Amino acid sequence: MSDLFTRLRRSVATLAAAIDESDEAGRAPPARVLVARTDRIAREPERVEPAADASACLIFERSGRRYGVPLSTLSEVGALGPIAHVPGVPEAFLGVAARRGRIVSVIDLPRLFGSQNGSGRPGWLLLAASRQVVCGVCADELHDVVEVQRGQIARAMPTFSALLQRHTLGVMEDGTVILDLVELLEDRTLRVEERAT
Amino acid sequence: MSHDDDTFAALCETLREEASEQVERIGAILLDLERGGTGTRTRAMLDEAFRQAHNLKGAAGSLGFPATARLAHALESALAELRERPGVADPELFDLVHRGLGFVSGTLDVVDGAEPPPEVTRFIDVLNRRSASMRPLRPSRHAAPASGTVLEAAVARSNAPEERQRETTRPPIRGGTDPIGVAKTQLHAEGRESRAPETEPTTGTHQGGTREGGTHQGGTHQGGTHEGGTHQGGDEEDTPTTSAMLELALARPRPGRAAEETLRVSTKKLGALMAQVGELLAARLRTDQRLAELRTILGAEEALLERRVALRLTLQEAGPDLKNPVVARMATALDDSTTTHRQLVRQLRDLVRAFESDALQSTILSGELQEDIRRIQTFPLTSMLDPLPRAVRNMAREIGKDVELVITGGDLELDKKVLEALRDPLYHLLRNAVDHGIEAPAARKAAAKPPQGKISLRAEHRGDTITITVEDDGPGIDLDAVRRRARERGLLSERSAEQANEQLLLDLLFAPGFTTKKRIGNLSGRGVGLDAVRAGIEELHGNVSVQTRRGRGTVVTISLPLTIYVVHALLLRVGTHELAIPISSVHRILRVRALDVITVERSPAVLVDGGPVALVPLADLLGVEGDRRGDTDHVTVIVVGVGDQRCALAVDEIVGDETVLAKNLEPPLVRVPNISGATVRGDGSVLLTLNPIDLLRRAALGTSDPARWAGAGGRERKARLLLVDDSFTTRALERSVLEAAGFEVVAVASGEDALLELAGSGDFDGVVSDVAMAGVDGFELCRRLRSDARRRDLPVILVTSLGSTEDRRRGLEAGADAYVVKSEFDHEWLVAKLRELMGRD
Repeated sequence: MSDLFTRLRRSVATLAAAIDESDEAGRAPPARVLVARTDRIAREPERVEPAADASACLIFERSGRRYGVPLSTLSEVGALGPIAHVPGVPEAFLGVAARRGRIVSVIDLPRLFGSQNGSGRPGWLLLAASRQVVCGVCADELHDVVEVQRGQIARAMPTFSALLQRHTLGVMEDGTVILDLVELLEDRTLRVEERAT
Repeated sequence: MSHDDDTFAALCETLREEASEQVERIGAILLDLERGGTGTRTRAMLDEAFRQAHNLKGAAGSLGFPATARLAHALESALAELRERPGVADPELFDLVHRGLGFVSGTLDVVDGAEPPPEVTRFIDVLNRRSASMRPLRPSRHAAPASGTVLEAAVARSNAPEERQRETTRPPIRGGTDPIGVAKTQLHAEGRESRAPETEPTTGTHQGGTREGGTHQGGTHQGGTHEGGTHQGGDEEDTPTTSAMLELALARPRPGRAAEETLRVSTKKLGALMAQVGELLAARLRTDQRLAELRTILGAEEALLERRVALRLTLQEAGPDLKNPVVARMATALDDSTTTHRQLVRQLRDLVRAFESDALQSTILSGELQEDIRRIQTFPLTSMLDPLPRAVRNMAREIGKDVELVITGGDLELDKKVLEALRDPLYHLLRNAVDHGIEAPAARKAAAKPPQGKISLRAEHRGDTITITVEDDGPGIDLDAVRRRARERGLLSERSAEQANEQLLLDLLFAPGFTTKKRIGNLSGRGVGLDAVRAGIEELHGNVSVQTRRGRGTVVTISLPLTIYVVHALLLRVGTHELAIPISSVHRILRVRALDVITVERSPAVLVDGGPVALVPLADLLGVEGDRRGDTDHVTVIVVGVGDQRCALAVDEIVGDETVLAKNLEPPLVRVPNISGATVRGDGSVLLTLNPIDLLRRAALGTSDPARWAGAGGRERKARLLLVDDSFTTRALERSVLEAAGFEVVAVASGEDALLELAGSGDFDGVVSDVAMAGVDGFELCRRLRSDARRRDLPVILVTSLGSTEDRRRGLEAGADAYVVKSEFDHEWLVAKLRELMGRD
């Protein structure tokens, strides 16, 4: 890319030299305008480096609540297939679904964070995979991918549940809660390892 | 060579393999540390290196390699010293440890009774002196006995599946072209030379046929000369030259190893491969569905063709009308289209046949592939058990006993993960059996028993379940001592202890930290054994129980579901849930009249083969809503059995049977009660597989109501309790007690979660809460409940270890209805008090 700009600059310089020559011949004004315009176009745009604390987040919605998760924490996003309800696990576990030959849990975030209000069947599954867990959260709608700078978003509110506070990266102006999804799904309190008796 | 010799040779080879890995690991850690490890990571790395040296010491000691054990002990001591001062760079000690690692392999050729090479002996002395010089006037915290605990060592060593995975044939250990053997002989030769001060110093490199040519001329290295080179001798420490040569010899790959066609593959990759095979099978099932659809279309086309032919015959029968040009044209057109149709049907039939043939081929191939992968992941139990008889013998000798371990059923093949997870529980059981189970010789003589104690380890395969029993012929468990100890530890009140039956007392042996032993010995007495056994077995979805006979011994039985990937399952429905259960655990399927349900001691039952079997609705066990609309005059029942236990489970419908590919649930669903896994069906849906062992255990708590079978509905709603405790164990214990007493229990781990539960559905009849919890504690929870007009009268019982008068006063001031100190905890009292407070007594 920079080669292209270099070549363009070189062409502009050659053109300018040619015009200078032609100026001397008395045909300057219109050509100079053209050169200035070309020069503007040939200028390498100012590169905007993303801030060190910025990350691209997928914003989604479940039961009317908006959440965002860094794209880097997601291994897959897709339509949610059939779910099997698992008896004896907390309500936040909607059930399990098959994903690439594995049986993964599907978690309803609002319920996990204490909401009792149910919602319809979700349409999307956002899958996060780490060394410890392969687990998904469900969504009704996927909204957008936005660049989020952690330094510029509000911190978790003290009224959040302890679990939510632990794994909130920040809260955006529109109330979207940005979560560290992998950390959340690896949280020890989520583990179901109860004995039968 | 006898079988024992074969086994011993195999074990030695395993030890060498493992030692090589341990040396590599310690070396890598040291290199890492030299590159500048810091802080807690340094400590963790040194811990790891120490553990590796410790394991090596124990394993070598137990198999009769004293030189290796002594060397490992010296290395362990040096690593312990490094661990004591993680921030201090000590290149000299690092060098020594590295050099010591180089000697390990050579020492493994020095069997019990033989003298180790003098270089090694001198090196060990040097290293020990160096470590001791770093040890100022303070007691050593790492003064482990040089031999280690032999069983611990053997068990640590017996990482059998991994060993089998890298199984390889080897050249003879000694002699021949084995460079280790050569190195060993050189060590001996060098040792002799080192005692010869007149030896001339030279360059110290070996040359000539002895090493390069691969033929070793044993005994030719005498006096002070080598062919092609001699080396310096007579120093107190072995010289760098000797050491370097030795390390060079040891570092060279053994012949044969490189040529072996073996490959180590991570279990993760195998697991992923198995998952893909699962997908393949699911795709195969979908193919079957497509084939069935195709057959239906073929059938329809054949029927259509028959109708065409019949129509043509009808036209034929029309006779003279065929002369009518219109009819004749119709008949011709019908003939043409029928011919075409016949051809199409024939092609379709051929296609279906080819499809069937391909599907069959695909079924066979995918089945073989699946079986092959399964075999890669399974190993005989014997691969893990083989080292144990010798280890048990040695361990018993250490404490002055004579014990024989007899193993039967070792050829059972188990999943590698199961084998690995079984190792520690079996180790604990054997350690307990040797230490607690078998009497001292004098006591055995007094009891008229043979002087040698016997421990039998028996593995059996029944359907999809494997049973492993560890039985000793000792004096049995002293139940009075258990009763006494339970009382002392506050696990049972005076009254409960008096009334406790044998099963309850035996169950207490699995309580965390429970031991009847007053003295902590090398082998046991810390009270971590049986608790760890139960935890380990339950991780595997299994069950462990104890039976004892006074004076005749103790039997510990482990039941485990076999990890079988393809399971023939019975599909059943409970409410809206379709579930699978391994058919091998289903003894009978019955349809009984509701009127034929009998009551035995207030427990519903059905008669099976002339005997009563407890009847429990599966919906109740799973905590799901059953079908209330169906046939109320009849009950569909499956009789489930594992081992000697049986139970009749009432279900709503038997859907059918199917061969399913079992898969584990993924974390965070690590251990879900009653569920052993799941399978993916052809349509992509997930079918949960029930765990019969869990179901039987839960059914044993007795949750069924006899009134339910007299007719549909009319059942009184169970009282709903909110149980709050941040301890998993306490929560599980109290939950089981309360559920067994007929309460519906919602258990949460914090005061905050309790408030959320109350703010949600909130229809609780009582609260049982711990006091000391982070955040909202029991007192605060109680106060908040009392300040809420809707909860003011909700019965609250605080169960806590805070037993001072001040604590009790605070609890009652906060509004608790009752305050129970855990050390005085009495299940019956708690249940009675709750019923009283709820007005349900």
